[in-house]
Amino acid sequence: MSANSEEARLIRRAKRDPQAFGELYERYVRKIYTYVYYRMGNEHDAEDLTARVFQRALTHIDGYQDQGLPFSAWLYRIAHNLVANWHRDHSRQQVVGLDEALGREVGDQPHELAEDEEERRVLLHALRHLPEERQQLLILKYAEDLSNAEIGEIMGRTEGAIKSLYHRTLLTLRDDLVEQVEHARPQDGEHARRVESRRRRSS
Amino acid sequence: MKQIRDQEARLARLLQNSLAPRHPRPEFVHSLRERLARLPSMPVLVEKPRHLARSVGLGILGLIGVIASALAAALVALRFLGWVLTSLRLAPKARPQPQVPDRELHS
Repeated sequence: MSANSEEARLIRRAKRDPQAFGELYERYVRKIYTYVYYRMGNEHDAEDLTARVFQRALTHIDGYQDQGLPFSAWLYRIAHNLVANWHRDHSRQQVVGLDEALGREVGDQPHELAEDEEERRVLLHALRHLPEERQQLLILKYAEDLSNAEIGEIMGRTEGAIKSLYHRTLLTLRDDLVEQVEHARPQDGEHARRVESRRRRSS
Repeated sequence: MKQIRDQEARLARLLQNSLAPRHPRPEFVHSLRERLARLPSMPVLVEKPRHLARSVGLGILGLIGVIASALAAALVALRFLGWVLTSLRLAPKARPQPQVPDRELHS
């Protein structure tokens, strides 16, 4: 029995049997959590929204119709909508983001490691300022390790469109990073110098 | 061109390293599963009345809107009809009041 037909059977069972929904939950909770975490930037909100995604999925699974897409596509769409609603409702509040979380983790680590963390922090900061669909694309591609075709299924686009969007996103991200370095220069000369020297070395 | 490709490749590597899969706390995974197992009876009790109330509310508002529109339309139509009849001199004219001379009044 193929993975898809097995999943379809599980979904049919989940409409009647909560135990079967539990199996679907176990299968996807980590993926959804990862997606929500990178969209939200902290564990607390990621847990809260992950819980809401599965609660909503459970209450609406009766109306779920198999359209040939993976079940995860439906879950990611719920997650995407909830995250978007959350950001819309909290747009005036300051979000404690990945930056601070990572900042705490870095602590007294050796210089090289701290530099890597700094670079990550800058990158994730830039990522969270991209338009929603571009964030979604990068998270699905790198955190979930999905192919362009699979991402296309989730986002309702063709594989070619995803490929093109990915390329444009990388260019935007690169420009954003350069801009961040430029902006950081007056306030934090040391940091800017480090990031820029690494960028030069790499290019 | 090669430089741009290298930059992109490096950025992709950096993304790969930065966006590692996250692992939720096992307690969270466990407690959410328990909550979900208890949930199925709740949607029936909570969601359906809410949907029903919303539908009934929207229905009543719609009905009020239709009645108000019908009344307004009838009022406009009556006024228009009155104007047409007046224009065609078909409407009953108000009987003119007899003029009473001032003298009679004073006497």
